Amino acid sequence: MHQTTVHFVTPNALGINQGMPVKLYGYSVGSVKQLGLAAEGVEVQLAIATDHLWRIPKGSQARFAREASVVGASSIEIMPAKSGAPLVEGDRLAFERSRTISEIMDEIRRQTVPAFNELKQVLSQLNRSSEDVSVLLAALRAEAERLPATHQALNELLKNGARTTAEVGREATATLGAARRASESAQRATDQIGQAVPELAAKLSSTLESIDSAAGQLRRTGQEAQDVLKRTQPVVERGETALREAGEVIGAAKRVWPLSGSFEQPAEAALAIDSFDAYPGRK
Amino acid sequence: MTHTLRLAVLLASLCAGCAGRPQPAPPPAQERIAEAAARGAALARAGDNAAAALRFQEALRIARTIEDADAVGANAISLSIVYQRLGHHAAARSALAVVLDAQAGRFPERRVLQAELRQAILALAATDTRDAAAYAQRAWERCQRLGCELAATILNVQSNAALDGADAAAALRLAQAAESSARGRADRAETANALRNIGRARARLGDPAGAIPALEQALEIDRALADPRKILADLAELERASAAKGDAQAARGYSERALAISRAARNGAGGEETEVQLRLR
Repeated sequence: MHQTTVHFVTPNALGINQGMPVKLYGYSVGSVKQLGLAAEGVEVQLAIATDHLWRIPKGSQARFAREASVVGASSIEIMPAKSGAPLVEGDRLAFERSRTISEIMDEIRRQTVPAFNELKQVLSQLNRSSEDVSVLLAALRAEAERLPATHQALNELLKNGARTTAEVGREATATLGAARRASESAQRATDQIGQAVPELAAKLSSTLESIDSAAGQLRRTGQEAQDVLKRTQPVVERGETALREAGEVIGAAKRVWPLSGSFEQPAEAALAIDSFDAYPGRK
Repeated sequence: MTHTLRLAVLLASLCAGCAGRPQPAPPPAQERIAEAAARGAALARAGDNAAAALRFQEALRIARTIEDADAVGANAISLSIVYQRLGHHAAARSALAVVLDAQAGRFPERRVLQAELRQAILALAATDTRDAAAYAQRAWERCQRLGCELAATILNVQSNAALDGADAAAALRLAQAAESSARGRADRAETANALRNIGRARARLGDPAGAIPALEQALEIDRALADPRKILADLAELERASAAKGDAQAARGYSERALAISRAARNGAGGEETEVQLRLR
């Protein structure tokens, strides 16, 4: 198959490797042929199947992309220009290096895991002894006072979400899925708590009454967030704006929601065992 | 307020309580292990196994300094994978020996299971079918006990062992079970591996026409996964099955596609082999 070499220049080639697939609409059309230092950074040459070049007009952009999973394969994704003459040998593409929602969600997971661990510690403390209940009640009261601030943070997020109407449908779907999992996980956790600490729940009832109104407001806000997510589909723009908003989500979630249970632990860094390594000729 | 609502509020408040206090920083050594292992995995997925090996070695070294048995096991297993892909088979076996030769109970059982499975794969790659079958069986029994997620992978390895042991009927049964298990877990890689084994087994049983649809499905998945090694294997099996079926034109078509991939991937040995086959036609 005849291939045509085009290139782009990036100030940072971290994560880009020789042989990495080049995809157009998610379909492999070539691969990274070579990398070399250039005056502006690193020049990355792409070998693209000539048969597909008519779909890639001059003015198209390339960007570094990863599949939905954080541990998924990375690739160079071509974002074709709307019209124009096709690329020819030696042409240069603009290159955009942006954080994907997957990476942002990974950031969220990483930041949320410590909160989850602390939650587990608190729960185990509760299970171990009842003498700490008074201390816990004081902590609960103090934290309940913070709920209005959290509510305000969530409202700000909602305003931002409503304004944002960018594409990224696939990534937004993943975000929505995480939110749904959060809801399911919270329900599961609630059921478990209900079975594990019924006595404690009774002792805390007076405190719970005092924070009931704040929690109700919070639940309504959560419902609004779900609605906005469904209505606008993509809630988060790419780039630093998204990161800032994600930061707000993290902050609010850490303080209020038992979201940590909803986020899976980051995927294990160990390589997956693949039975293909047993295929004849793999020696 | 209902009991359920109270409990929900309790949980929310507990979480709030967590955030109210400073969060403990993860131990620096464990952070470094995780970072080195993650970089190693990323490099291996991008095909840079040599650089990946250095990262996993570093992760293993740090894990040993803090006697983190789980991390030692995980990184030893990852090292065995990249060593095998680099052709360093003795080193790959040595890496696994860290887990397999250890005193019982030193490593989590999940790691022992993974090490046994990897040992079966290495034995199969070295055409030691008997050893492969024994380790795969141990991994299978452990997997049944633990309810592990590697059932499809183990069944595929057992299917490969049966094919190497000339028991195509057993290989077909195992591969079909592997396909079912892999589809149940939405594991596309192992689904494709199972379909490839189904095709190979059917061809061995004298049904090359029946092998082709399974192999085509495997090819379709592997193309979606964009793994040239597997695409090449699928095309090679399709070429063989088509030739056995008597469709020389289709066989040549698959062979030419395999050659193009070999050249593109600069797979010198594979390309030369395919080129010789083409010249002989």
